[in-house]
Amino acid sequence: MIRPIRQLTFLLGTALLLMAVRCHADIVVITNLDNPVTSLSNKEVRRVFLGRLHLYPGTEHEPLAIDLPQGSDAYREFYDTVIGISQPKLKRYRAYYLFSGKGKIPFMVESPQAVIDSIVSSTYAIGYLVQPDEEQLNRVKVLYRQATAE
Amino acid sequence: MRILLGLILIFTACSSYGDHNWQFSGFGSLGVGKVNREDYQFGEADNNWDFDNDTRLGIQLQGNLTERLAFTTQVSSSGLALGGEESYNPKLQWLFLSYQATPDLQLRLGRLRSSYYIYSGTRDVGYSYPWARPPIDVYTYLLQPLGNIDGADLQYTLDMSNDLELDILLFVGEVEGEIRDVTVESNPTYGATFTLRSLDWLLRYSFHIEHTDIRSEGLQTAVDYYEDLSELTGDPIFNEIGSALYAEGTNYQYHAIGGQWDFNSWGIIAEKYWVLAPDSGFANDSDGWYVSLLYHYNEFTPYTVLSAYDNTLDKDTLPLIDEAAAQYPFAAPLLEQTRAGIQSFKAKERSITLGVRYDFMANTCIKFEVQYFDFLAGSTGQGFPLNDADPPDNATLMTIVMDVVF
Repeated sequence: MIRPIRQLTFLLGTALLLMAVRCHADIVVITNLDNPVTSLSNKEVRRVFLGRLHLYPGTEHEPLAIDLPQGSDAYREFYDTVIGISQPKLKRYRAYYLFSGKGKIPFMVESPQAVIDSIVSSTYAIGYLVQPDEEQLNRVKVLYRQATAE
Repeated sequence: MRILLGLILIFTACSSYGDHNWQFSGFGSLGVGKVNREDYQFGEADNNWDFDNDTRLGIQLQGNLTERLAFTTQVSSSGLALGGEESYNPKLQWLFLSYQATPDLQLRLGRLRSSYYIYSGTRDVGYSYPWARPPIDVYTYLLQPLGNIDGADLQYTLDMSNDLELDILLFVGEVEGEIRDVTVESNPTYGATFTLRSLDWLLRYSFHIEHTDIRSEGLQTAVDYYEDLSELTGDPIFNEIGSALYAEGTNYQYHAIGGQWDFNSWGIIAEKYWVLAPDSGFANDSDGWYVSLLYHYNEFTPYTVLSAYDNTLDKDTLPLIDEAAAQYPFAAPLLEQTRAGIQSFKAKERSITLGVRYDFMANTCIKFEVQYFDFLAGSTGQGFPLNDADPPDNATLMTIVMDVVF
């Protein structure tokens, strides 16, 4: 009788642990390992990806923001959840920002792997991944984490 | 040639800076418009479907010279030609170096867009705003050729609590442009813009002080005649009338307030401006406003705009013309011509616009818009009558425009 209870407790614990891991690592904002910045607040992340943070806090270095393709699920999830801006509004904002002489918009790459490659090759690059695996995160530094609504 | 050489040097410098340093982008609008009556023209639009009024194309290049020093250049071409230039002549809109002095302070030097209103910087970029064109009762045709400033500006961003930011922009430079046969030069022009923003709303105030010379080839002959008449009769009244036809070092003040608010699927945008001129000389008082309500429903954004515009050139000169005509009947033909010239600057209109924007694919949208104008005080608003017709009381402008950014 004791054995089935132990097994059930073990299974329940494992399930809770998996759920917790999944919730806490859903969206990460990452940078190069050599970047001296160690963390960013949600507001700072928002300002980077909306082009309103021109230098990393406490440094003299400009962030090079990397974006995933506009139509991708990761792009939508990142901007909806972390940045807090709707897709139609983001499109208009980007066009307004880009062509009104305020600065550059994030540089787009095709895949999460390309985000990592860009970050590994550029000290001040900054990008995001949605539900990354641990192996992907080995080569980069995590500046910000946020769970998705799931 | 010097600009070209400068650009080549900049490109060379940029290419050595980094792989992701180049950002080449562009925008375009293909618009077709038509006025509902044969006796009236609005911009380039008349009674025939025409592409010129809202068709534009632009390209832009941005890059860093060093981590803190960047350059931007943008060239655009528009079918709407209100000045002395031909339709679709390429025009340099931006060409500047920017230096990020601190995280919050940026300096820019070169050719910039004037910052009168919320969408002044992206007036040619149809994709950046909901309408077929920014509401013309504020983004007036009169100011369009004066949309660039050669000089410098300094932008300071104050990061406040609760997601609030305050942008303060100070600028100085010179502006030069043509509107029909009138040449306008403002040197110096200076001012400031204050923008308080959060993610969902912004409030904005801007003012420009412009030390302005205004001359018209067509009116210069009359100015010369008035000087001769004043000398001949010894009466300064002719000089006073003549001085209403040009400006020399006149200080004009432009003030504008605006706001924008997004609430769930709803949006509201409103702006108002005033141009204040001195009491004498080429005294061009002007004001206008609009309020626009929008609703976002999936890829569709239906909208409406209510707006008004009022422009007057030197009301005080008309009584002087009456007085001179009574006293010197031989000068009546010239005086009547002058009266007609001054009254032609009178423009008073109200308008209502209904339209819808449809974002049917990535970075591309199409807009359908109908704008009804009501002309007041015997004027024809910002358009003009055709074929010697009497001024119409109203007109309707229909527009279909497709906007793209790339």
